[in-house]
Amino acid sequence: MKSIITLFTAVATISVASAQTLSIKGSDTLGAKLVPQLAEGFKAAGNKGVKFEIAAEGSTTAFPALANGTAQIGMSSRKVKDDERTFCKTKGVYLKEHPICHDMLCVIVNKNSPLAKLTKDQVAKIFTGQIKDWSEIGGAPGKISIYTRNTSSGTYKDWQKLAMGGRDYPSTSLKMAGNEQIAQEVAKNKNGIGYVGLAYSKTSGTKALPVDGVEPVAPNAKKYAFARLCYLYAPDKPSAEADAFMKYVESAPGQDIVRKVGFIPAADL
Amino acid sequence: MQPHHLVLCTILTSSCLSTTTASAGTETTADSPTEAPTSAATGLLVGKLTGDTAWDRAWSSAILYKNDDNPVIQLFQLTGRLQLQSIYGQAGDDSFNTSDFKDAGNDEIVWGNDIEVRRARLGFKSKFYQNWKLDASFNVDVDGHDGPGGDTTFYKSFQEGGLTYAPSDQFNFSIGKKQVRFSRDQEISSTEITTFERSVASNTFTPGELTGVWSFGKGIAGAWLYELGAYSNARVAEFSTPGDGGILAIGKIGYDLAEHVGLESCVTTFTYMHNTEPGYQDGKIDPNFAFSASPSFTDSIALTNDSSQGRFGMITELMYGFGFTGEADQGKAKPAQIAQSDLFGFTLTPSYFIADGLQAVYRFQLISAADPDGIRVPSRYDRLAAGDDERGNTYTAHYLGLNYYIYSHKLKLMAGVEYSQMGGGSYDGYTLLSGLRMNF
Repeated sequence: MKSIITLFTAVATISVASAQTLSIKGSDTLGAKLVPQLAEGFKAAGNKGVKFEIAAEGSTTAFPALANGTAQIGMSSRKVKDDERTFCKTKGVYLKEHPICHDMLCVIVNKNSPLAKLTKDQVAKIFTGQIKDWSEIGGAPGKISIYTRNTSSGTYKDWQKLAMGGRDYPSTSLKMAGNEQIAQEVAKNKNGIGYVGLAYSKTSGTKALPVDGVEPVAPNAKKYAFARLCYLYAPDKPSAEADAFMKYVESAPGQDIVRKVGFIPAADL
Repeated sequence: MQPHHLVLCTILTSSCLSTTTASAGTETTADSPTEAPTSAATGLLVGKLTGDTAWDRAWSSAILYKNDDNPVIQLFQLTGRLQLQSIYGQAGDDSFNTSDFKDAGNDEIVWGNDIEVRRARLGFKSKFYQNWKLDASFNVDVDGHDGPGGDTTFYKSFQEGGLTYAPSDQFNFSIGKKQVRFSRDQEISSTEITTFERSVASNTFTPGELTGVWSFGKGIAGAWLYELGAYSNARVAEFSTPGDGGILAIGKIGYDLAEHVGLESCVTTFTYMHNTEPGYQDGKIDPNFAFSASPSFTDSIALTNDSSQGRFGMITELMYGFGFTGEADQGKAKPAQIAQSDLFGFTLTPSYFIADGLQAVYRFQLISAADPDGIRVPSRYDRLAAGDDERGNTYTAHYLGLNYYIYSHKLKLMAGVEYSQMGGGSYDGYTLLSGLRMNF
């Protein structure tokens, strides 16, 4: 009997020990929706014992957390910088890079707009307020209404960098809570323009415009002006949980989740 | 208690413990990720230090204010560095140490007799109106007696700084004063070089800190980088006037081959530098600033590569200078006669992290001159034994060192030994170095 008790005690101990926490920190582009859904998928795939901590506070936070050991995986909407990688190395953490998806921000206008395309320069001038009326770029006369994400969104700043050369939005821009709200407002406003993730680019009442002649569709992610490759970073010798999660992300079920959330799996291109 | 009750209790207890463990703490569930507090201001002035560790928070106290959402000023941070080192060397029967270095006219930068203050600087950097940056770095007095007549002083000279328009990574434009970085060795800040001193080859070609305008960018078409600059050639304590001492122009183009060769980083650059007045030297005398002469080369080229993968790093440099022969204004009654032959330099610097935070570094350097006396023994330490006039035509050196990173490059200990030899001359010796470097 003693041996049975010992066996069950051991099983209980393993059970406790197996309730491991996987800490993931970094980009809010990835951490807002994609990684939480990947985490749910991972748990549903038979890894119920893993508890996730996901802190989406910006790509910059990923690398100090990896270096300090407070995160096992880092999320980043850009490549790690040299000084960030060096900081990790001096702490004994050698990063392995996993490109997982392309994030594409599409420019949408009202479906009744006569405009059929924009240039990158025109997009920058519209979103910085230099172009104020559609007639300035061949559209029907009307004051342009700019819809953006709100300031607490990482995408708000990402768009500034990607499309606006780091300059400010005009004070008249209208700040929305998310992609869906932007698309809905643009659908209602014939003078509206906004940027949304690929998954929202076909919202009824709107149309996504080509930029510099490149259609905003998944196969064009590598050449579209407002697309970027996003990454997960893990130490070269990850924990068992981190390793299993990375393998899940790169598996077919993981890549399906990437697609469903509106990103383009890196492996697709 | 019946045995099966005990088993049941054990299972139930383990199950409860498991659940408790899994839900304890402050973790965020997968369904509700932490919202980004991107609008909050941080910094010492608002009483909010950042970082995961005590080290991070201590170092973040140099950031006085940081707020990306502030439309006027986004960052104001104090910067500084203090680099201390001590040496002992031997060449034949002659030995030398930090005390000898002090006695050779370097009294103001040696604490006591054994600690050389290699660099002591303070400054600031700032970002405002999203695309503008203003930064400055000053050399500061370390013993308080470097003012005129031995009086107390604080400021010694303006090292680097300027105003930069930086709308993107691809385009930056600056005006001010900077260390013109000819080779890869010079590009890496002294806070991050893995050897105590930069190579003799790169020091021979570098024109130092000059006043001018420059533009630079990276990430162009994915992996290209560039730098263009035009500077007044006069190396002075503050700013020189345009064209003072001629013009030094530099152009650099580079490409990161990382994705093609499967490395983390593999940046190859080609640099060209032209000097209209080689050998020029400002004639002023200032005990707190060395008005050194411009390199005696009309044109210089460098081909470099900086690669890294995991624990391994490697920097390779090939440099060539077209020597200048003629007269140079050095602020004296008569122009100086310069007769510098062409010079070839090569360095190879592999490094490897042998344990967590402990890095081993080796460097080989070779300099070859066309003339028998085309190279002088390096001035910093070797001349303490070799004398000022020791020359030759081939200089080789082997450096082997260890760096221990206490808090990354921000606080580290270094130790190394360098053996050097002047072919065509008589110098042959080694130098042991140890030191501490910190910056914020």
